[in-house]
Amino acid sequence: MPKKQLPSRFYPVKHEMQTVEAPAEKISPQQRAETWEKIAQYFRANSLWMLNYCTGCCAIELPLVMTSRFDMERLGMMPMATPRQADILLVTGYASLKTLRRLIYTYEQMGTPKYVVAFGPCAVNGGIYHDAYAVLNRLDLYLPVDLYIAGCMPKPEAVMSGFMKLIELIESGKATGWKDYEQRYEWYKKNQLEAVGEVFIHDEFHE
Amino acid sequence: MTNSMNSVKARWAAQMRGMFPDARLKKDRGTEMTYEILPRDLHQILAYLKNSGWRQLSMITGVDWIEEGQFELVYNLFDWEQGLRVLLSIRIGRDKPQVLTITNIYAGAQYYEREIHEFFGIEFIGNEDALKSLFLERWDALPPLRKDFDSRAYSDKKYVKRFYDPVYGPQGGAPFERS
Ligand code: SF4
Repeated sequence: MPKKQLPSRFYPVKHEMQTVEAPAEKISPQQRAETWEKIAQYFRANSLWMLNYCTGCCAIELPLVMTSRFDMERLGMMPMATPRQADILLVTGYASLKTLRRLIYTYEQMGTPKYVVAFGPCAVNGGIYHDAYAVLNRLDLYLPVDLYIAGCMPKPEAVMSGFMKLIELIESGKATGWKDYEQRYEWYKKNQLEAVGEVFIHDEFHE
Repeated sequence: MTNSMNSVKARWAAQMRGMFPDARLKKDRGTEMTYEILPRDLHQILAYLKNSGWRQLSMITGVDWIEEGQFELVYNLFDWEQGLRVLLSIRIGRDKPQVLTITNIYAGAQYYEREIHEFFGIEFIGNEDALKSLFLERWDALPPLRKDFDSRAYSDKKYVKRFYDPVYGPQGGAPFERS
């Protein structure tokens, strides 16, 4: 029995291969990479998901910033549930012996690019807790801080203007804390170990 | 404070006097009574109170009376039906301080005992879990809420400080540099 010929639409269409002359390179590979980086920065700056790790009392101003009066969603910022989905880590206040370990865990879980915003003088030099037995005075020794927001606690206006500044920094490519953390990883690790002895957490939830 | 509450309270206070003559009413603020009791009576009194309505242990606090060489532990109980609060305070010696755990009466005391062990170094006999650290992981000095612990000296020794000369006014504010 002769094979039945299927209608032509069942056969793949064959195209003649055409070779097109590539246009001469007008920009160098480096320039091209820079252009892509700029495009990436533009998009990064306009969609920021934040993880507010409420270490201290500064966190009290965040609900105001999130809700309708100041409404940070108009800057494209949103609170996010897990570190793996977040872009910004807000350290709202002092880091203590207990919280620093968890902060480091959190920060290292976040995917790059990631930015750290520190609130209040407590993160700069200990603030009013500079002589407390469990408060680490300088956050920037342990995590790469991109932006400090002044005020104890910072008013919502200050927080908003800080966020706007952060967007500016990201867009112009100046918020490079995460690169710094990768480059000087040993230095940060050394400081962390000096301060808390061991970064691993041994408690009921991590054993 | 209502009359009926007053009578309930009076009846209860009389009962308490009869059962535990060593318990001394130190202060009566209407809805809050403070008793000074002996450490050996603690469990009896707590068991009695729990059965007569004080089902909530609100907290346990410690006080360091360094000049008298004593620690004070205050057990804070609350009765939701009558709205009455009772504070029981015991005193123990300051060197090698030990008390029996109360987790067999109020299971919620677990975390308070753990915290007090951490901040005052008081040992709770019968509560192994109280030896675990709660806030101060890998702590390497005296328990920090003892009066002879110098917080400032410890902080200066342990943590890196930041010193700078502030410039006030509109010209102030040095640009931030990564150290
Ligand atoms: S800076 Fe002020 S408000 Fe913020 S955590 Fe420190 S003490 Fe609290």
